[in-house]
Amino acid sequence: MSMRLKYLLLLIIVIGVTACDQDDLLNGNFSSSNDVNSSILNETEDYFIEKIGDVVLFEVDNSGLTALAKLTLDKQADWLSLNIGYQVLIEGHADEQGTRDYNLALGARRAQIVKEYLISRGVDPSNISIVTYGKERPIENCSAEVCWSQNRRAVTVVNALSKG
Amino acid sequence: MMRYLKLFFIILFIFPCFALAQDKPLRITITDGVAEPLPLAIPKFLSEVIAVKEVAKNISFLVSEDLTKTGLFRIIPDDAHISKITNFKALLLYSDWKAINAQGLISGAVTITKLKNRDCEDPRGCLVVKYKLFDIFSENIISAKAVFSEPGDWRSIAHKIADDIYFHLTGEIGYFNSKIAFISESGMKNERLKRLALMDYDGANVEFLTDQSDIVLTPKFSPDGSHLIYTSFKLGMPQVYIMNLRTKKADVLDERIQMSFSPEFSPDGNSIVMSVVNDANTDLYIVDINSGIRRRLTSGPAIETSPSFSPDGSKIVYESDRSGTQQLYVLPLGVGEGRRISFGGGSYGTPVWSPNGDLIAFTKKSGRRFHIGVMRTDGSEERLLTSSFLDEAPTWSPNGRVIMFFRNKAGSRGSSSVFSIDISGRNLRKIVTPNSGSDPSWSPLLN
Amino acid sequence: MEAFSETNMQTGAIISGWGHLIVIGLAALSGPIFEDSKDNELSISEVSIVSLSEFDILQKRFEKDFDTPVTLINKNNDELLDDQSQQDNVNKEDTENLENEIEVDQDIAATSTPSIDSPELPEVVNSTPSGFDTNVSIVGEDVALNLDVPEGVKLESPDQNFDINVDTKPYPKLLEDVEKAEAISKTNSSEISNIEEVLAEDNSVPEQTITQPIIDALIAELSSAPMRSVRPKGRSLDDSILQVEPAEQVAQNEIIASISNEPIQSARNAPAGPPLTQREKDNLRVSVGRCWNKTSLSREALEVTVTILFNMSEAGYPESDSIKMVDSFGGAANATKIAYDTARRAILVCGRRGFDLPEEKYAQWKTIKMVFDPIKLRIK
Repeated sequence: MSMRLKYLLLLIIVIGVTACDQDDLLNGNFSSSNDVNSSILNETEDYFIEKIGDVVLFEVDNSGLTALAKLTLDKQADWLSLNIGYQVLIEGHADEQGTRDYNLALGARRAQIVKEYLISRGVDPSNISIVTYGKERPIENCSAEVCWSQNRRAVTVVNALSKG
Repeated sequence: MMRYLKLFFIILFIFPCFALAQDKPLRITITDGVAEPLPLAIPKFLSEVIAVKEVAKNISFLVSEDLTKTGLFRIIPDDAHISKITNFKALLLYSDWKAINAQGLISGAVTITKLKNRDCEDPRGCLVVKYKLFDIFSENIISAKAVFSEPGDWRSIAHKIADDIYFHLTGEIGYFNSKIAFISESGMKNERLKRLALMDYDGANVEFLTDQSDIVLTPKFSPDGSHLIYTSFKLGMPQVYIMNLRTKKADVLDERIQMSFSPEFSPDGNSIVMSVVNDANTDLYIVDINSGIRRRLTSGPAIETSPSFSPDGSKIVYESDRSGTQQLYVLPLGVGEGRRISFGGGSYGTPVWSPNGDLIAFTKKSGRRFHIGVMRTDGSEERLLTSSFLDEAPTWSPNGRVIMFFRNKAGSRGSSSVFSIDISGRNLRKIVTPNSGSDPSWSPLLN
Repeated sequence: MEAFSETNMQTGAIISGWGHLIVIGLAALSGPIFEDSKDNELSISEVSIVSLSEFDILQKRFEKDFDTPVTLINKNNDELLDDQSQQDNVNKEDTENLENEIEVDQDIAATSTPSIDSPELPEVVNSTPSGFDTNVSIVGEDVALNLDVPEGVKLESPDQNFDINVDTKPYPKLLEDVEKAEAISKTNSSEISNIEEVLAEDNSVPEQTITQPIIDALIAELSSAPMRSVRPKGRSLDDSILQVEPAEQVAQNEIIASISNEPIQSARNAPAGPPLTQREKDNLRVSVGRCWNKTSLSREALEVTVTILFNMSEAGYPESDSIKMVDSFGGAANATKIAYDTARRAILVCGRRGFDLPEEKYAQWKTIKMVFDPIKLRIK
């Protein structure tokens, strides 16, 4: 029950901020977005990675979002809704247990599902793009479930728009 | 009842015939034989000038290597030979070769000379290898040819000779004078560097086509061997590129497409079929290279990838997870839907149609093992040829007799290597490359 | 790699004159191998392959053009050749003649009828027993001239045949061949390809082995020939003759038998003895099967069933000259050829020590029809 309340609260904030933002965008004022409500949340990329969490994990050969993943994505959505000046790239990855081609497709599917979830949580679709790396860029090297589970992931990479 | 009676009369009728016909040949039907490498003698090729002594030795050695590596032939060591070949034109003493059970013999003579019909850059002229292939027990010459090229290309000469011998002894086109496009790999799994590269079929003459700044994947030869199509992350996402192997220039195949991968040429070389990512869905598209016209071949929420054409260009085989697991499907182009052909346990991927059209090679995952296998085009007669932690991406030799694939070792270094195996499941061999190698694609027969 | 660009550079240079001819000749010869690469831009470098005889002819001409020192003997012959070819300028006609000739030769080889142009045959041939045809005459020439292998080639290079001057008077038959070879190299490519095809087919026809009478005849001929010293060092002809091989022995036996025809005749008429028991047949089946090696059979050839008819000597050896295919099904010509070669090899390889068959039943197994059905050999 309290969760829902929290979401509701966040949603209200998001909507509010989005409204502000649109003004900025209309004025072509991309970089100035940092000024907005910087006092409430830390807007740096590091903060996003460290405190929000940029990674969500998947089950084997699966692109469904786990409860834990959704929790992380909710936080990401919140942050992204508040920090408008970022381009979002979602990387989809797979573990090494699959063919190269299939894993590329699977990575794309994972990334897209994350993207859709974030959009459903209010993130501006025009700022989100996806890429798949398939099994080409694992973060853990061992050939065991303990590593594979870390490699089946989607990473939300945020880049300040001004940087291109 | 009538049938038995008839049979009885027939037997009655035939028997006296046999008894009387003593002049008739004895009839024997043989259904069983042996499977042993055919013993061949390849005495060191003669050098007609001192300058080619070493090359002559190398060429006969490489011809022997090529033939031995097929698993179909066994080379009788020189020291077991009774007579030596000292003159290319001399009469062959068949008895000496029969005595050591040599069933074929290749004699050769090497020289460097100027040729009327061919200018070679080397001031001494062209390297010329004359050779004869003898059938020892039938006492005749099966093939007698001269091969010539720049002296530096002696490996190609040797491969060409081996191709000719292979053809005359097996009835199948050889595959020695061919190239492999592959991905040369280095570094740990999480920071692996990949380069597009070419090598001879035996791993010699590795040539890099890209630097290591971008991830490159799954190169495939055009049917004429003039181009490569592959996936590169040059622009930050997987996109299909086409490279002209003469100019080494590469272009994005279709700039309008965001993410695409797993490209494969049509047999006529005019179109490319590949996977294109649309939202969460990966579908197959066919692109006409000249007009740029795109056509979608599959739709629906499933992943469709790893397409491969039948040699006649009328169908493609691909993998789809529409059933819930990855399985193989055959799609007749222009009509109808993909029909599932794989029903064994586990999941199937990277199907590749054989050049002869009768088999499909694939990667299969069952449990935690990966296999390379072959099946008929209707999915029947599945045979698994290999098994390891990770075997992937079969590619056919030009004659459809051998399959190359890559094997990835487990563990953090976990390097990949290219292997070859006969479709009988015998003769597994590692192709030795300077670095790790993956994603092999076998060229057509060259030259 | 610069090798890639080399191809195109070279291509231009090659398409002219003899180069053109050779390339086309090559296409005809190597068939599918070459076709694959016709518009092939990727090639390691240009590697050309031609038949040895074609190569020798072209190279010969080239050396002549460059006035490469050749032996006096060769020169004489070359001059002879030139005279000849100048005399008959009508190349086309010559080529046609040659084509006819080759066809005829093939027929001869197949049926073993006496040579048609026997009046022009060299003496060597005339001194051989009748029934040996032009094919053998060329074998004889090769042996007599330079100890070359017994090839039944009609288009064998002139230099091979003219390395040594056997006699002051030329060999008309041989000269004709050379003339024709010259004619071929001058005529257009399509004709060449025809000829090459014929030759390629011809290659597959098993060649006659040298039998003792021919060798005897050759010795007789050679002993009167003035050029022994010019022969290549290493193995002398006598050495090779003294080598008694099983196959030759068999051939010899047969000849002895055929001189006194009685035994065979009587064997035929005599009671043949009881038919072979199943066990005896199985023995034979197993002993041939032991040498029937499927390894090198192509998948297509593994579909082909061939039926082979051959004669056995009384001593239990297969007579290699008698081996012929009488039936086949299940494959195209090339696959059938390989299937036949492999089956024939099985008979000859395992038959070289003789098959264990009951002597008293010789008439039962004098002729054997062997069906090679690779049903159990197919790759499964």
